[in-house]
Amino acid sequence: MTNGSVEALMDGRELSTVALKGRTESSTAERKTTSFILLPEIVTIILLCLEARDVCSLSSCSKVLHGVCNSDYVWRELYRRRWPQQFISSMELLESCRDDVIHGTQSSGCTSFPSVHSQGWKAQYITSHMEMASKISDLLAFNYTWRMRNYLAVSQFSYAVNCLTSMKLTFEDVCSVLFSTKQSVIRNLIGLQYSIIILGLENKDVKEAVVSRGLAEREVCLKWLTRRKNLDPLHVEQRCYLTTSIGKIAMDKEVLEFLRWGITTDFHDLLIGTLPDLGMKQTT
Amino acid sequence: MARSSTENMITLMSSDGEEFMVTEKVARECTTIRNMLEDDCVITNIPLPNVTSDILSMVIEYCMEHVAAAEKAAAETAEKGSSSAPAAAKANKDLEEWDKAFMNVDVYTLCDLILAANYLNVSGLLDLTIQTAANLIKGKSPEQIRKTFHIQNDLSLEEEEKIRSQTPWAFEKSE
Repeated sequence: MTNGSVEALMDGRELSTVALKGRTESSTAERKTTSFILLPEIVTIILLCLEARDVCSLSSCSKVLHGVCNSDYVWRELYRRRWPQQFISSMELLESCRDDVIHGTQSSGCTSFPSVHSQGWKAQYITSHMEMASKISDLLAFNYTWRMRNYLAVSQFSYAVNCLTSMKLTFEDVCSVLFSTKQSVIRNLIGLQYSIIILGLENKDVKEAVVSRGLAEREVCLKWLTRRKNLDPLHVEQRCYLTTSIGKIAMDKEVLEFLRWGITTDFHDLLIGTLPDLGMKQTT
Repeated sequence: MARSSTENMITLMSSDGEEFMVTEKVARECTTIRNMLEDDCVITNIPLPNVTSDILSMVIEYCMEHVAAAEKAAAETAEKGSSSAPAAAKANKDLEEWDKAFMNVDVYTLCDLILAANYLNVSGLLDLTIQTAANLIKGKSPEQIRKTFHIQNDLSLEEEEKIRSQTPWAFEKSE
């Protein structure tokens, strides 16, 4: 590590660490790793404050951390937090199977141990996550326009948000499935609208989530027609455009309300998409 | 540290031999010390071989601030008969701000504080430091985490690849 390099992502605290490291390096023996990393029980407590993807990041930092981050206990807790209902039923199934084995009965009707038992909670978490992701993808791939072009009419947008509502998605589901650079910007926006309008989360919390997933700068465009005033034949309907970004919309209550109602007495025909897909050049 | 004739003073000794005189009330914030005092009530000098003087002074600073805040709240409640909600909320916010400023330290100090809070069993400080460490990890790629905490990467490229391929969705941003 060079002391001169100032990473854009480093905050003030980390910079002071770099400075401090520089001092210790030049004076006496270098302190290699920060001490707590060596204590599994401390790392475990920290892991319980993190999301699955942070645990995964930490697990590919070093051999010791990989061991700690893969513990069945940690993944059991991550699973329990994300899917509390499924967790309870898995535990019940596990219990009844155990009873069957102990007492030689077949009351639970399960012939083999549930997968949680044989593979552990991490594997179970991954399976459930993949199932959830494909379920969301299936639900959102609901019509032709949606798949072939990168724009949506506001009615389809609202329908998509309603689909998420009917699935009772949690914010963690939204973050891990929809807030991804691999998803289209429209899906990012659907997740955003759902988190703020339906789940009622704070704008700044949602903004933080999209920033940390590198979505804040993703561009999105809205295009709509103003209504004729008093049916005046001379009043021409006007095409309006708004080019904005996921990060900006997260903090913009007005745009979120605009997307929520879609049609009012002042405007109609609202389309949501990316700049090229709405047939526009880079102008506002 | 104001000496009051009615309060017992306890001397805490750091690993490097420095002595800290604190009131029993402050010392009792550390569950480990509280247990020692309850086992043996005449003890007045406690050596803490796992904590250095600079870290111990920070732990004491934290305990004193929190004891003072609790005493102030209790005094206000006693005075008015009941605590007023806005005043209590403000006091809480002030203490939160204090905690936040207190956590403005480099990662080495942070890690030493975690270990000391764990050893001395100061639950408030342990929660605070653990949360701060967690916030330093949140949203970062493995490379950024290694840099932040000065972790030596001893995984081979293949091993790292294998770990990432298990949960590709967790590494999307860092790709």
